[in-house]
Amino acid sequence: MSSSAENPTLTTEITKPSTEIATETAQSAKKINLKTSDDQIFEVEESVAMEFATVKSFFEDAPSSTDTVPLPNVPAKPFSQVIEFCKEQIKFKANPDETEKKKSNSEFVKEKTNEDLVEMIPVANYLEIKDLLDVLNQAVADRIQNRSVEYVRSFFGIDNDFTSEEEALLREEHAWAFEDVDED
Amino acid sequence: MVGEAKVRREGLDLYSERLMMLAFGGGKSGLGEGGVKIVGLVITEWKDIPMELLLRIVSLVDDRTMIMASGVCSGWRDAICSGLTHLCLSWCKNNMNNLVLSLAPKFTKLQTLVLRQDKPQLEDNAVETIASHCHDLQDLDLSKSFKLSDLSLYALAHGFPNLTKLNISGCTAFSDVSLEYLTEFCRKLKILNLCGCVKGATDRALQAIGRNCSQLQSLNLGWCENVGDVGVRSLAYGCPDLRTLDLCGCVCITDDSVIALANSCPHLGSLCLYYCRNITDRAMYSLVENRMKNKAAMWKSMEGRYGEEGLKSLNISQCTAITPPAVQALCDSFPALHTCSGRHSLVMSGCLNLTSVHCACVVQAHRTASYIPYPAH
Repeated sequence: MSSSAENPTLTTEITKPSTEIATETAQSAKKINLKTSDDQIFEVEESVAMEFATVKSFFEDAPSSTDTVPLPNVPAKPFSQVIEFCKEQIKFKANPDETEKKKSNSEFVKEKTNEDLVEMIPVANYLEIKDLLDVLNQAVADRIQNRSVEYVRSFFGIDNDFTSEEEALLREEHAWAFEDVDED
Repeated sequence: MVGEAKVRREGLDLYSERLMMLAFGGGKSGLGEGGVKIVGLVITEWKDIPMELLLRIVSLVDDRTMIMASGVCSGWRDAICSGLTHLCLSWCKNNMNNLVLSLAPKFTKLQTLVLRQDKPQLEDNAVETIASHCHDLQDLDLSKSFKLSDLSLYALAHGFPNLTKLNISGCTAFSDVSLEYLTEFCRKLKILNLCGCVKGATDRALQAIGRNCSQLQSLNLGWCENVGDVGVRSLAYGCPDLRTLDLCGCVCITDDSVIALANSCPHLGSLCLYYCRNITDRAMYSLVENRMKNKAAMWKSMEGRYGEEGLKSLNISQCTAITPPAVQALCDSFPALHTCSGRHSLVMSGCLNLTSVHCACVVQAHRTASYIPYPAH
């Protein structure tokens, strides 16, 4: 699991000293507790949590809720990275600058490993964070472009489940499609 | 309080469940045989990725990579095969025929298929395979398929009743008999490109188009030198919705063709008569006359769409018999026709005697000392 040093938003328990919380931007900002599938609790500013359409509509359905919201589909590690992205996004909401936003988005994905991207996509999909999903999808597409089928299988951690006959046909197909492309 | 929170949590769980059902609702890919890998509603395996999500990623890679992705695992294959609607294989240098034979039976939901070739590869058996599997196809580009014979057109006729867009430009082997046959089945054609189909695009074929394809909006007959007035007249009468017509290099046609188009096709916005050397002022004046008639009719019907109608593009290059007064009259009655640079939509290159014809912008610029930009309409 990722350490809290790596993810400043991660508070393993709600018993975090209040002084530390106060150092984060506005003191009055409302916080929301979100519990991941591996039982870690993240204390997130309301404005960030509202970036998650899934969470937002939960609060719209039950406006008075202040309790910890469980996110049974979301493991802590990709979630902390998702929060990192959404915090950046919010800055651009207040001060829209498409060029800077694009730059920031590409910086964000550039430093992520293949594994990071692959883990974040289902989370972004589940939480319905459209901007992030678009950014991640494009990043993954760029990384698998013109790669071999073996590369893509290992990229996503997928086992080959074709029969040897099917595989033979597919190999032929790929040879036709990739006749003039260098193998990776 | 505690009880209330519990209820809420259950509420979210239910909500999550509903979301997952939504996510998986698109296709059976995630729930295929071999065990469901959703533990506590988490997608733990990428082979079970929701089809919609996979297709979103795949739509961002090129077609070559997409073909590769369909061979990653059976879940991905099923998702891509049942979701892919657009495919282009024009990048294929040598193996297009083999690829089509192999892919067409799998990608049965294709709506658009682009098989344009620089080097002819496609053979009739590939087109027959497409025709017997991809019944949703609406848009097919077979341009420069020199190797295809009439058998391909017969296969298309039987396989694609819903075809709306067909490009067979440069398919020189197709005959007018097979083209006539095609029009009897593909009656929903809106856009047809027959550029260079010298053998196929004859008056007989155009008569068939006029008879069967009343929805046609765009037709390219470039360099089809067998096209004559009889064919164009049938086309004009049978296809009143025609908006774009390219008759470039149809050397046999005369003013009668243009007069028929002017009379019957009020929506005609783009006409190319390049190198149609029989065209004279009569054709130009018939366009002007009908413009006046249509204008009056449109004012009467209070449609208010007058600005959208009328010629926006006309090419009369190398039509050396046309004189300046006729073209100036044309230019004056179709305000969307421009001779000025930047919006050059009345093309008259090679007509040296027409250099005096100008659109309103140029006249205005000449009149005023400083240039005032023509207001956009």
